[in-house]
Amino acid sequence: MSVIEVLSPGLYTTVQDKGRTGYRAFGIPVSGAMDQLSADLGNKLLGNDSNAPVLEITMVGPKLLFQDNANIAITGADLSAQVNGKSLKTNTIVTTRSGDVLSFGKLKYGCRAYLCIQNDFDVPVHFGSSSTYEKAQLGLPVLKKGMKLNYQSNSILDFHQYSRIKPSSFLFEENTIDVIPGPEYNLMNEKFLSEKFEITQDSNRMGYRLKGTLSYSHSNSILTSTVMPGTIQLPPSGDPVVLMKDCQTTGGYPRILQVTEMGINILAQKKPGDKVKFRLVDFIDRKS
Amino acid sequence: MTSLDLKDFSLTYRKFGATAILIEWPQIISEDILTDILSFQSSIENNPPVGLIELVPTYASLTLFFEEFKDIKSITKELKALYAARISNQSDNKTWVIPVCYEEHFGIDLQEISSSLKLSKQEIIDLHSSQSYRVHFIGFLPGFLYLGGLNSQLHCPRKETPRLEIKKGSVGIGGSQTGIYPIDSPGGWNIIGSTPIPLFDKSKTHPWFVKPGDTIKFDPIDQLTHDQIIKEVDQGSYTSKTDIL
Repeated sequence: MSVIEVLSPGLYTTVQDKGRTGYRAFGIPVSGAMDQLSADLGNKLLGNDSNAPVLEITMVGPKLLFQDNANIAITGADLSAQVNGKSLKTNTIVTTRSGDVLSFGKLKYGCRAYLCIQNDFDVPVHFGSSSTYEKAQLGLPVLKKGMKLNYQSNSILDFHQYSRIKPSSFLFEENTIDVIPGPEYNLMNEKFLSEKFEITQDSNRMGYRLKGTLSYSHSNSILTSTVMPGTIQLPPSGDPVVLMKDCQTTGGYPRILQVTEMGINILAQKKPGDKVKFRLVDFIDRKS
Repeated sequence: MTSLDLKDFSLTYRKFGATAILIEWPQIISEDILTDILSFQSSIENNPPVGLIELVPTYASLTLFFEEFKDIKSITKELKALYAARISNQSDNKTWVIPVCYEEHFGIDLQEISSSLKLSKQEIIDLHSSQSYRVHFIGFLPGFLYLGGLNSQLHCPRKETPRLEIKKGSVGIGGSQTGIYPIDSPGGWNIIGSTPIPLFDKSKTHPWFVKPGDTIKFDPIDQLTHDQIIKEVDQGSYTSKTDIL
């Protein structure tokens, strides 16, 4: 077993895969990579299983010491990745040698980067997934200084070093999020769809709280019912919340809209202060 | 039991997100609806439509999550036929006795709600522990039971400022609901006691012994018993008590 030592943890670095299936009825969130598209691309590059655990890095990257060789790929947001202080190519396979230090610098675009490793991280699995869900201490805890990450070292290095992927620029540039009607669509004010919403500081893996220019406050409540990642809830305050991957399984606020899967990927790459609009589409999920 | 016990409701079937179907009952909290949802759920589980991944019941809805969708119309038709043929499945519902220590150390809001409800602390404890509560569904937090049946004398508003952390095991009252915090969590309910038994155990494949349709009763215990049960739980020698009625 090979080891990566966490020299510094970054802002919020967790392990994520495709998330938990079959446990919503027990109140367990789905979790999984916020931008599943970028996590998938990294695993594909390395020839990993599509459900292989990856590190999700949020805005400020960690500093990691590789005690052994590894084939890695970094996808998603550009956080100026470096090895031993020298800038590192992303969206391709890179080989790190024993003693190399991987670090990150300035956030150039996006919000979340994914560090994928060939042969997978060896991390705890709870309820069929190794995704970190901090609240219930599922999966590996959020990265902390001094933590050791185990992985299966690969003896064959550089074996398809020419594999590259081109990241979809629209994932980072698009500000329009596709939505379909939610169960309480009829409680939505029409102006909602021409509004530009700001993503507030109060946004995390559970949900993004948005702030518009108009007031959407109301006094409707619903009997607590199912919600899922992508559900846009409208609490009485009128500030909508887009539920993300660590969201609760049920909720009592009107579910006015539902973000498409691709829309969740795009939102996952937005950070507090960014602005988004919603566009009502039919039930067709736009592909990259 | 037979289908004679089941009342027919008029249900709505709608697509929810890209790959789920939301089935809704009249939007009220009732034991008839609970029984009907659980009966329909078990008939779906016994004859699952192709691609079904999981089902989530709530007070008056059942959501079916699919891997992917082909034809919503044909699945809805299949579901309607299953609904028509469902049979009542209440036979394996259990009653669970949950020990709760209402002593001051745990019942941190008892004093406050005692004055607002104009009931003595003992009256609150007696009312809370003499009732049976049906488990409608699990949601909000891993292992959080939505219980029906709180005595209306105990209804009291949530705290104006939610606490940043409520300890796991805390038993509280919020509005017309009572419940147990299964994990440490922020929350606005009035805390009246604590149970030493875990409602969420990540080391198990099936994390909960309680399921929707079951009944819960709270059994007052003193702190000594509370601490003793904690020890037994830690050592793995504690077994949950069912009350066969």
